Amino acid sequence: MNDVIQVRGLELAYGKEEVLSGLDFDLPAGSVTGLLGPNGAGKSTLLRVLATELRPDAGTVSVLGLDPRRNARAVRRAIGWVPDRVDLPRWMSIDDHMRFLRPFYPTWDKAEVARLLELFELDPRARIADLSKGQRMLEALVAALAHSPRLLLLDEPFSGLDPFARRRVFDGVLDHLRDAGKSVLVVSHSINDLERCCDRVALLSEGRITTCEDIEGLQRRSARVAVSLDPDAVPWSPPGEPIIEETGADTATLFYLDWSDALAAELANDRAVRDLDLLSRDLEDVLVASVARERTA
Amino acid sequence: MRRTAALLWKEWRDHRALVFLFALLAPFAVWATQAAWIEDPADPMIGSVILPAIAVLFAAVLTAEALCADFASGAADALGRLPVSPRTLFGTKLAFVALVFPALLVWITFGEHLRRIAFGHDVELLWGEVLLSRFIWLIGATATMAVAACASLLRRGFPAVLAGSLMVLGSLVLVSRANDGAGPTWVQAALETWGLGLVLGTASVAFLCTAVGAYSPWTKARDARRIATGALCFCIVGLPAFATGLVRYRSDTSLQPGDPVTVQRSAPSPDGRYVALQVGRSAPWPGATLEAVWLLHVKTHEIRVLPGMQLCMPVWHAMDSTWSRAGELVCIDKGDEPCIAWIEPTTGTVVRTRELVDWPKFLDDVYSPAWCEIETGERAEDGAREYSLHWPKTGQHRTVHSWRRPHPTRRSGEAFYLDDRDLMRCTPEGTVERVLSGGEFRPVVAPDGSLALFRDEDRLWHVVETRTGTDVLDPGDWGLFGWTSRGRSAGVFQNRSKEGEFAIVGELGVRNLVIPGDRLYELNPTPDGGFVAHREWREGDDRDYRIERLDASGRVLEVLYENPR
Repeated sequence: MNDVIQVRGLELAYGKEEVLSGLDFDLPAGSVTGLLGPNGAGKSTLLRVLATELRPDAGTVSVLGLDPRRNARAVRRAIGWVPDRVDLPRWMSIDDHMRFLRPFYPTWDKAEVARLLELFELDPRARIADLSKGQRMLEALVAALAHSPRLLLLDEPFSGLDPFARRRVFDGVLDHLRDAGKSVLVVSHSINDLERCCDRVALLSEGRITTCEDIEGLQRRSARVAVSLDPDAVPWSPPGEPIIEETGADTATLFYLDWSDALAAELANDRAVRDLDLLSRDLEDVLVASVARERTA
Repeated sequence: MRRTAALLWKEWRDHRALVFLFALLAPFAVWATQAAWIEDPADPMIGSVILPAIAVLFAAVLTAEALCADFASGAADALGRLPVSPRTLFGTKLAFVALVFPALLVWITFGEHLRRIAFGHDVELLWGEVLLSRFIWLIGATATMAVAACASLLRRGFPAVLAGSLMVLGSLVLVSRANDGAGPTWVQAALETWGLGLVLGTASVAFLCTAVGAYSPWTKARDARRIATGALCFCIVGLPAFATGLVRYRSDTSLQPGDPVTVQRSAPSPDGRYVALQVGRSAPWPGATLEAVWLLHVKTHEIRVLPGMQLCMPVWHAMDSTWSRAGELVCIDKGDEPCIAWIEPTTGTVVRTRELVDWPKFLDDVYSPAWCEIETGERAEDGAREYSLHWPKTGQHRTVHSWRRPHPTRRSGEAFYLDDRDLMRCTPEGTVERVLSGGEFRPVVAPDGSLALFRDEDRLWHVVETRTGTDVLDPGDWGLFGWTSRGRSAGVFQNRSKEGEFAIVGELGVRNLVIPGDRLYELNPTPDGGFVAHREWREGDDRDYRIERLDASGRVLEVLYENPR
């Protein structure tokens, strides 16, 4: 599988504040990948680098085989990019905006524009100034998709969208793109939304990608375990490298990001463990645990 | 190419309101600037400084607006994501300015032309011919554009209808001027109405701009109230429109050569190089006249126009004070503050002025030959008016003419006065003697005071220094035409009963002269011994004028100026 995005050793700082530090990241073609991370981790910065809006201080970046620094216009022409802040000319109508953008993209697809506007129930005659925040985001999404980009970069696309609009984005856009073999990189804090639309997630923390794999595998490799301990065995050192979420006199709740059958057997055979129970966890638990372990490290 | 066209289209849509307002307000800016600071509409500063300055100001504001508006609105980020280079983006903005700017200049020129037509002396002649055929579509387009701009920009019914209606109303009044023959008052009212519409539109736009929340690229703050750059631009450009309503329009009194004018008076300069012509014609509005002084160069026949000027007329033909003894043309500047202006004839520039407390009344005010002294007729205790003339040449001559009975007329320390039908002389020592008798004597004193002439109904007398009582012409109805401006004093008298017969009276006596041709209206002696003749023909309401140069014998040497038919 070819990677549509390849980032190696990416470094970028805003003044003295280092945002990205030696970031490595690959985005396989045809995947819908969610980019997660705490506030200030550098998610939007990474997308802006990929969208040619920022020039990295160091490292190499390849977008669709192109270097954004040297081929900025070609990259912009090939990707679709919806930033978190959509400042469109307020006086334009939606139709005006589409007509304005059309000459810049040779692969402009009027039929696709009409389909998406109908899907999102947007009136082409409506002025951008009169659109709600969510409608403006949808309008920007239409503009980003109108030229059939091979790669779509979305920064917080679901903010301001009502559940119905969100569902239309999932079903009518992202699934459509996935079926068409297009690649999507989505930044969002809504893990539920990412679980719904993405097949891979990447976790960005402290300026680096700490985790990047498909969601099922990530969830399969993690486990939250509640253990009852023999009071005589306390203090006790658990096997592996769990994140200790909670401890009591003879109980503990552990979160493993590298859970395996061998680790389960080792824990079961530990003489200090009188009982163990596997608790439920979701993608958000995995994200929080991963960030906690990164910060501890 | 299509991308550039799209960017230009976006720039046009972004700034069309500003461009519209520039175009609409530019003429008012020119007019207001001219009316407020430069009164003379023919002043070369308007063309060389004011118009370029306004054009540069507009270009700077438009460029700043084009470059900054996207940053101020946040749209710059959206534009930056387009697959075009920054050079293309900025180049397109500058190209937009470069395309729009000439159009603005055309509008400014149009506005200036319209102003000249509206307020110029030729309004009566040109209005119907020029305005209707050439500018009616421009006025209509302007009004339509204004309504469209307001409607498109404001998207609000009331301001657009109000502003647009006022502009349409102004245009209609302007056009109706062609039919009803009303004066510039109506034109001014129309323009004021037009300007009011613009001001309302501008204010609405400015209000709208200030009410819109905006994104600041510096503070990263959003939804902060601020004055948009566009609003500032509107205010800058709109201010002259306000000023237009405050200033008083000044009528254009520039009568250009070739215009059909009435030549009211001609006066050769002391050196004979120029002839000053007082020209005028009735204004197209009631009770007013347009006047100007033309400075005719005798050799080249070139005419320099001095708008708003009026030649100083001699009082009772007692002296010819149009030209000072230093060779400067002395005029009355009929500006807002009337004053006497000394004009250098070679350059046409005013070298000095003297304010007048009031408009001169030629029959009541008396001026000295060099215009250093002005005395208003004094009113004696018994109510009789008394006039004093000061001769600055020596500082000693003082002639007093009083209408008090008896009439003392004093010259060079002497006093002459009328006693019934006798002319009496009173010496400084107090001796009184009869000089002439048997007439209603009126004194006419030469500019240098060396010659005093007295005339009654059919006789002319002159007094030279100590000699008195010479009966020089008899009989006849002798009217004084003028004095030579320099050299030996000489008075030119016309025998009103015999057309073309003149008498040149000087120190050495009297010389009879017959000027050929007819319709001689005025004859002024020149320093070379010749004359400048002013002829006038009347056919009904039409008049024709001709200024001729004559030699000493009265033969016509050349025609200096002829009124066009």
